[in-house]
Amino acid sequence: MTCDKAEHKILFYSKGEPMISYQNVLDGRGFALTFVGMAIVFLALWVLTLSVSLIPKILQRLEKQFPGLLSDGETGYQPVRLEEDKVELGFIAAIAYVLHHRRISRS
Amino acid sequence: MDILFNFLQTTGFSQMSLGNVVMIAIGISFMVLAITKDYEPLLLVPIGFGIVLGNIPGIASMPLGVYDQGSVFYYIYFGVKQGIFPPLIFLGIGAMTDFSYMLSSPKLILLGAAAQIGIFITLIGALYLGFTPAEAASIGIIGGADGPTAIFLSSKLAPHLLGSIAIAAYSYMALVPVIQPPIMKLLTTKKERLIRMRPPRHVSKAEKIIFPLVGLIISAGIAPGALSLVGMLFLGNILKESLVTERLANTARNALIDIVTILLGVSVGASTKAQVFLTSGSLKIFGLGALSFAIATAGGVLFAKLMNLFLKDKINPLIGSAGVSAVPDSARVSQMMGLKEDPENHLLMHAMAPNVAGVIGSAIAAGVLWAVMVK
Repeated sequence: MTCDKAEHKILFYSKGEPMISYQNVLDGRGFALTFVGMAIVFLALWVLTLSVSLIPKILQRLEKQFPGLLSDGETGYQPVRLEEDKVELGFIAAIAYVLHHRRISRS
Repeated sequence: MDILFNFLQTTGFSQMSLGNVVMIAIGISFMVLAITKDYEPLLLVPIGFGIVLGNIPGIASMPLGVYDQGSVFYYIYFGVKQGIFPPLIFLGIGAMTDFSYMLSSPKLILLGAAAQIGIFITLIGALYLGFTPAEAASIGIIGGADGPTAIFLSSKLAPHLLGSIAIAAYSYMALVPVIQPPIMKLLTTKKERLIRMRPPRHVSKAEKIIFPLVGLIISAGIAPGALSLVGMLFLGNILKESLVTERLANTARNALIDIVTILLGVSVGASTKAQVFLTSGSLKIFGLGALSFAIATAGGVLFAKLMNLFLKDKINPLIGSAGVSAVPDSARVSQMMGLKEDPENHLLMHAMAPNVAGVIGSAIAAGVLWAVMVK
């Protein structure tokens, strides 16, 4: 396939205006392009998916072989730490403190 | 007196055509939308201003516009024409992007691939409407919902359509919150929209540093045409994640990306001269652009539903639509749609995975199209 503009002009713009036709799709190999293009995109991202899944496993093995090599060797499942968690814990602690203080003052 | 008359004949007002007036109105409406509605203001303000600037008629003997060799704007536009600005923007995006959500749920990367179907279906549509294969590929890439990628590919394959494609790409990116929700709602059931996903795991620093290298080798190895885009994306990311080049990362994600965005926006806008832009071809490009966004959104959502047939931990299909790059707007749409159904179901973190995977996916698609067209 070529992107030579002059050649395509002869194909599609011979009368100055583009022709709307299903034949254009066939001539431009639209379906083959779509199939091959999507297959390559999927292949690339599938290989990326596999590699990304393997990285923590490889790192875990490396950590076993060379302990301390990775400063934060947390590669297994752990929920992501959110700053909000700290805020929430602080909030709960404050409420608990107030309730505890009230109970003591009542008794 | 004749000096005055001669001068009056050279003024922009005396040479202005109706087309110029229409384009100036379009430019002003872009700026109004950006300023009052906050639609992609960082892009639409420079583009809108550029449209106004490019449609003030100049003097034939003076190099003033982007198409006049020797003018200031000609040299600024050189960065667009030669595809220099998009990789620099990717450098900044890489330095901003946190891939950890994607690294914590690798299976979600595939949603970023599925959403690229919009590119290829639109390519078929553009071929049907009579565009050449190279032009059709450039129009199709609008479906990647990635402005720099669209500009990069059209600068290589169809520079004469660059203005229309860039304007369509950025306009629809700004309209993501309007285009996507009805499609997402139409293709999902209430039960699916309520799916709660497992929280992402913590990603180690080592994983974050290794990923840009692995990502570069795989994506550019498979599609070398994407080298300049993904190369700069991952360079920016390693600058960020290594933590030893904080100054460089800061420059890439702040000063550099801002400078390039201004130059790119204003010169792309200025390239939309009425005589070049106001054609039936531009209208078709806008129509095809809308179609490509809709198909890309549907592709992501439907693929998430397909994946759910095989997965134990179900995916909320609302995050499928985030596969169409448009970082972070499409991820925000997923979050917004999820919250509408269940105010405690936060999908943003999950949606960021297909969202950043979509950036890589659309760059790879551009690389594939470029390689196929120039062979």
